[in-house]
Order: sequence, then C-alpha cells, then structure tokens
Amino acid sequence: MRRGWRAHSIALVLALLGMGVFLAIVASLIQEGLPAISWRFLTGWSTSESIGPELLNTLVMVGMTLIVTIPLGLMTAIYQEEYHYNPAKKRVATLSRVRATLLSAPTIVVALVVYRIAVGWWHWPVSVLTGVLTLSVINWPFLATLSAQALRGVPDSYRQASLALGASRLQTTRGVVLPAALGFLVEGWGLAFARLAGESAALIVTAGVNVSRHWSLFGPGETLAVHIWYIRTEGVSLNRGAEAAATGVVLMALIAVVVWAFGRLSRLLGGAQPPSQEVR
Amino acid sequence: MGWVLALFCWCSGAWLTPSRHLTVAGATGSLAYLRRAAADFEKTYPPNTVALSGGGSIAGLVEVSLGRVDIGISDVAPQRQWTRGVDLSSLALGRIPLLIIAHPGVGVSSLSTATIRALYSGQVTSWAQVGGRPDPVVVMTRPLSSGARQVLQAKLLGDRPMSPDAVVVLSNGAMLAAVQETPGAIGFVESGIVPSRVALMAVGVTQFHSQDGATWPYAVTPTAYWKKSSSVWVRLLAEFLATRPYRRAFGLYPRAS
Amino acid sequence: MKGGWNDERMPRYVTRGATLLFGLMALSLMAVLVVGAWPLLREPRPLTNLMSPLWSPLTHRFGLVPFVAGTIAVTVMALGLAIPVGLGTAITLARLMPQTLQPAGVKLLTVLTAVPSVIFGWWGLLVVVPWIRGQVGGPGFSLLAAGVVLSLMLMPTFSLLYYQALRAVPSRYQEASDALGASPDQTLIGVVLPCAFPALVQGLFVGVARALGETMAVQMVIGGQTLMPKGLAAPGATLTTQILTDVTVFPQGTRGHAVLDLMALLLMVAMYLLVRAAERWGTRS
Repeated sequence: MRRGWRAHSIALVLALLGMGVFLAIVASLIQEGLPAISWRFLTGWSTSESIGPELLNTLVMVGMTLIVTIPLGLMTAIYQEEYHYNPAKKRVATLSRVRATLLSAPTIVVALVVYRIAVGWWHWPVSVLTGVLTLSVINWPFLATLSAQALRGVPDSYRQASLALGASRLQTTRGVVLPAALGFLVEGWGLAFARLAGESAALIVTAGVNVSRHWSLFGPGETLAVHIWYIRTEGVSLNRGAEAAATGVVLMALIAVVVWAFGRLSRLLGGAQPPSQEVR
Repeated sequence: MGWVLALFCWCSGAWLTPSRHLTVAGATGSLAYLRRAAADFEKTYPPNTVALSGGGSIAGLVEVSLGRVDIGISDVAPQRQWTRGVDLSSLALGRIPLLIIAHPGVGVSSLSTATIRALYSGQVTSWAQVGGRPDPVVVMTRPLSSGARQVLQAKLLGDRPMSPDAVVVLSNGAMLAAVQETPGAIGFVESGIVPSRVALMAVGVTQFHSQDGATWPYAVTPTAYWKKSSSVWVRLLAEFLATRPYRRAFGLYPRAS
Repeated sequence: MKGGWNDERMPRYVTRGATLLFGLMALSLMAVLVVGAWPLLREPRPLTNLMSPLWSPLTHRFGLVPFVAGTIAVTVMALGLAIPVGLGTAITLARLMPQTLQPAGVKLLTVLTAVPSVIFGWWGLLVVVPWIRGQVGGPGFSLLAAGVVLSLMLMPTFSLLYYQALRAVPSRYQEASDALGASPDQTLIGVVLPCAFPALVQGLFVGVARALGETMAVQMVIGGQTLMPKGLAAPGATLTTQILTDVTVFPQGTRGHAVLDLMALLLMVAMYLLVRAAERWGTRS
C-alpha cells in the first residue's frame, strides 16, 4: 500500500463490510424464498397460497398515490420556487420547515391521524382508498421536497432568458423549467414508488390485512409488505418462513425493476443530475 | 384537473355505500380463520366485500361502539368505558385452547400451577430450580390488551403480578416463533393443535392432546360484537363467522356444552 | 385556462391552493394530536407523572422516561454504527471508484434504501437476535439488537447523503490540492471533508430523524419491555414501538389514548427541532 492512502483504505474496508452485510441479507432472503416462488404463487387468486391480489393491491395503491401526489407535489414546489422565489421570506422558510418536519413524521403517527379523520369522521371503510389517502399524506412531503430540489437545480439563467423573450411565468415553468428538471423528477418518482411499496405499519391500520375476492376501491387492500408482516406474526401455515421470504423476494424484485425502469426513463429524458447552479 | 374533482368527491364520501362494504376489526388471534371465512362469505353473498383490520380486542369493541366498523372481534369481555353503554349483540366464534409452552431445551415437560406462577412472577430465574437444565428463564408475554394474557392472569396467576422483566411480543405467531428460537423461554400460545418445535407443558397432571380442544380448561373465546341497530347483512356475517364447519382446522372449537 | 398564456392569476391561485391544502394537512395533523393529548396535559401536574420512570398505564402512571431513554440509546447506537460505514462507502464510491461505475453504485444504494423495514426486522430475528443471545446472554431481544437492525437500515441512506455531499465539493479544489503535492489522504482530510462538513452535518440530522421514526423493524427485535432499560443488551422500548404496542390497549376513543397522542406529539416536536438544528448547523454560513 502506497503512503497517503491509509484513510482511503479504512473507508474501503468499512464499505466492503457494509456491502457484505447487505449481500448476506439479500442472499439469505433469496435462498429461503426463491424455492417457494412459482407462477401459481405469483398470479393465483386463491387467498391462501398465492400473492396475486397483494401484488395487484401494491401496484394499484402505490400507482394511485403517485397519480394524486405527483401533481400536488409539483404544485407546492412551483408555488414556492417559481412564484415566491425568495428564501429569505418568512412564509417560504416556514413552508420548508413544515415540509421537512412532515417528511420525517413517523408513518404510524400519520396512520393514526388519518384513521381518526377518514374512518372516524368521514365514515370511509378500511379499504384501498383509505390506504391511498394515508400513502398520499406520507408521500406528499417527499415529492414536494423532491420537486423543489429539482426546480432549484434549474439555473436561473434559463428563466431569465425565457422571461426576457416575453414568455409568462406559466409558459416559462411549463416550457423551460419543467423539461429541464424532468429527468431528476422521474428518477425521484421511482424512489417514491419504492418508499411507498415498502410501507407496512401505516397500512395495517388503514388498509386492512386481508384481500377480497371482488376487488374494489372500497374493499380491503393488503399489500406485499403488510403480507410479510402478517405471515411472520399471525400466519399459521407450516412453511411460513419460506412464504414470507418469497413475498420479500417478490417485493424487492418489484422495487428493483421499477427503480431501474424509472432510471432508464429518466436518462431518456435528459439525465438524473439536476442541472447544476454552479458554472465552472 | 379531473383528479382535483375526484379528491373532493372522496372527501365528501357521499357516494360510498357502507352497508355493502363490511369491516371487521379487533383481535388478531383468529385472523387466519377470519381471512378464510371472509373470502367464503364474499363468495356466498356476492355483492358484499369484507375488510379485516387488526387493532386488538379493545379496539374492536371501541370501534364497533363508535360505528366505525361493523363487527368487532374481542377476546375480552366488553366494559362500559369502551362501549359507552351502546347495546351490542354478541356471538362466540368458538374457543381456542391456551397452551403453556417453553423452549424445547429447558428439560421440563410439566409445571404445577404454583410453578407457573413462580416462573411468571419472576421468582424462579433458572430452570434448574424447577428440575430442568440450568438455563436462565426468559419470560415472554403479550401486550396488556391481549385476551390470552388476561386468561393466563385470571386462571393461572391469580393476583400475582407478571414479572416486569418479561419480553413483550406483539402477537400470537410472534410469540410462538420467539419461544421456538429463544433458549430458556416460557410463553403461551393460542393453538388448537400441539405446536411444533416447542416443549408443550402439562399443567399439573393434565396434558393437552390435539383432540381435547373442546375440554382443555384454559381457553380464549374470540367473540363477534355488533350493534343491535346494524343492517341485516352485519348479523348475517356474524352468524356466518360463528358457524363455519372448518373452524376446527384453525383451532376454534365449539363450546363444550 | 380562459385567460390564455399570459394570465398569471389562474396558475398562481392553483399552486397557492395546493400549498394551502398542504399547510392545512400539516395543521390538522398537529391539531388532532394536540386535541388528543389535551386531557392528559390538563391534569394537575402532568410533568411529574410523565417524567417518572414508572409506566403502568392501567393505574394511570405514564412515565415516559424509559422510552425516551430507549429511543436515545437505540438512535445513538444506530448512528454510531451507520455513520462510519456510510462515510466509508461514500468515500469509496466518490474517490476510489472510476467515474463510469459511480452511477451504478448510486443506483444500487438507492435500491437498498428502499428495502422494506419488515425485511430488516425478519433478518434481525433470524441473525441479530440469536447472535446477541450467543455473545452476551439474556433473551437477545434488546436495545442492542434494535440498534444494529436500525443501523443497517440507515447505512444506505448515509452512504447516499454523504456521497452527494462529497461530490458537491468542486473538483477544482481537489485538483488544486493534488497539484500542490498533497497525498490523497491529505486531500481527503484537509480539503474534501472540511468543505463537505456542513452537508455531512445536515445528513446526520436527516439520519437522526429517520432513526427516531422507524417503528416496525425496531419493534420486532427490541423486546418491548417498559422498565428503565438495565443495559444495552437488555430489552427495552422506544417511543414509536410503545405507540404500536399500546395502541391496542388504548385505541382511539379510550381515556388512556391521550398519552399515545402525547408521545406522537413529542416525536413531531423532536422532528421540528431537528429541522431547525439542521438549518442552524447544516448550512454553509
């Protein structure tokens, strides 16, 4: 080892250690779960031996949450970054703080409050829909933060050029700022999907722990992550360890595929790095 | 802007028809059975959907009294502070035997009531003191709201408080797994069959066998509660849940007459 | 939009409406918690009750000290394990890996940050709990197990945050340092880390917030004991896990639920303080 690399080699050892542990986790998950995965396990609709409905619920609930929160997150970010851009202003600072606090709110707390409001006051059933509402409350601060980051990454010179050409704020935002930020945004949406697909504590309370024969928005919506929790804590079947691990493998694969796909899409749209403010 | 409209529609909640979407909440001990029976109910009475939610026995009683869910499942008897005097009908789903189990390595296979008390109150700290191997005793229990814990307290521990050193596990399945995996552990599970990979304790001289679920003296009784004023479908569902022939496969025995 | 592209009112109203809705959501979240916790705060001398180490909810003794202690112990342990590994990974990725491989590494870390917490809990029960039982005895369910599991969950987060922090240091600083004859270590310790320091601190606060909020994985391995923890290898509880455990004893609508709302409120206040702290110490002056 050449002199002057000691700190780097310590870092390398630590990194390898961390990677090793994660490799062990994923390997033991796959080793235990892979043999239990079959086509029937993935697509069957019988409630006990297959996870078809849970897979559908995960996709639908997370998809609907994204459809609702992507525009909402963008709108709060546009208001803050495009229409009120002045970080020194008190209102903007407060908004950022509220956003950051909500972003780190424990999801179990969010779920208890949503349950009280939606199920208690509005009389919604424990259902896919209530689950989507919960996920939306969890995800809005995340996407608002992400969108604000994306917009902030677009150099002001873009806006100045567009405005100087006579475009309105709206035209500038739509035609110049958003396209420039799109790559970063799309990548972030993939992350949001992953974050939501793994949520369990909040959904046990609000979306239920079973699936219905007749899928409906107002029917129960157990997701894959909740199913893992259910098998581990309440399941009675003999090979529940393998079943939980198999569900875990499916969930991880789903997350990996979606993150990869959004990453690809993001690259097609111009790359994930927010265009830097710093001009060298 | 369609989604904004949709959002407002949701918030109003006006076009939801709760009678067709029945919600069952409460004790999680019989969740596996309820999942099966709920699917069966949906098949038999097609337009209905049944959602199951956890929360525990007390939550089941509170939620059903507040009208947030249609049926509450509870292992514990309703108290006025939970139901607020709301008139509830009830129907027992059956009784689930409550078994005392220990890690297979403890070297003991029967315990007297007094010994169970001594173990659970934390007086006995080594299995050697009760004739087993010299493993330290690890007491496992469930949250205060658990019906199984209340049965144990009432029928076996009496007025002796539970050891404050006890490890609290959230659910029946987690309890079984924890006792299987922890040397020296003692715990209790709701189960209709002899559980695998644990030492099943005889209480005094009575040994549990898989065929005496109906007569075993310690049992949890999950019961369905619903408001007297609820729709006919709710009552139908409760009766359906209390009468399925395959209940025994999930450890639910009809009450001994 | 009837006003055409030059009408600024419509988009301004719409985005302001969304922002107000967002504020309303935050406000109602806090309001519901405050209203829920109010009965407890209104009692005579609530602090004496809450600051005691005795948790006996059925007799109305709501001492939160064991959970606060558990939360702090688990968080500190998790950070102590996760930060060195996270920083090491970040340095490896940013300074030892070739430019072309870095995006792949980032993608891998990103996927790892999204591993669901139930999977960590599952692995914790499978490996960490038996390991601690074997090393130090006792039941294995312990604050230490929770700290280890939580640190695993935080590692990818710290790696990513710190990687971004290191990458944000302008490369001309590093080139200048190299050109002056500094060794790679000297460049790292003398230039890169000091420049990235505010961002590293900010990452620390983000990590603390994540650690405080995690429920599921921690609950599965911590043991749920409500006494003052006797040591790191003894079972204990944190604020979030105790909310999850006792929400079954005090569901909404019962008298004791106030204390759970208060615990949630406490967590939210802690989150807000962390945000302020990150603002104060985590930005370049």
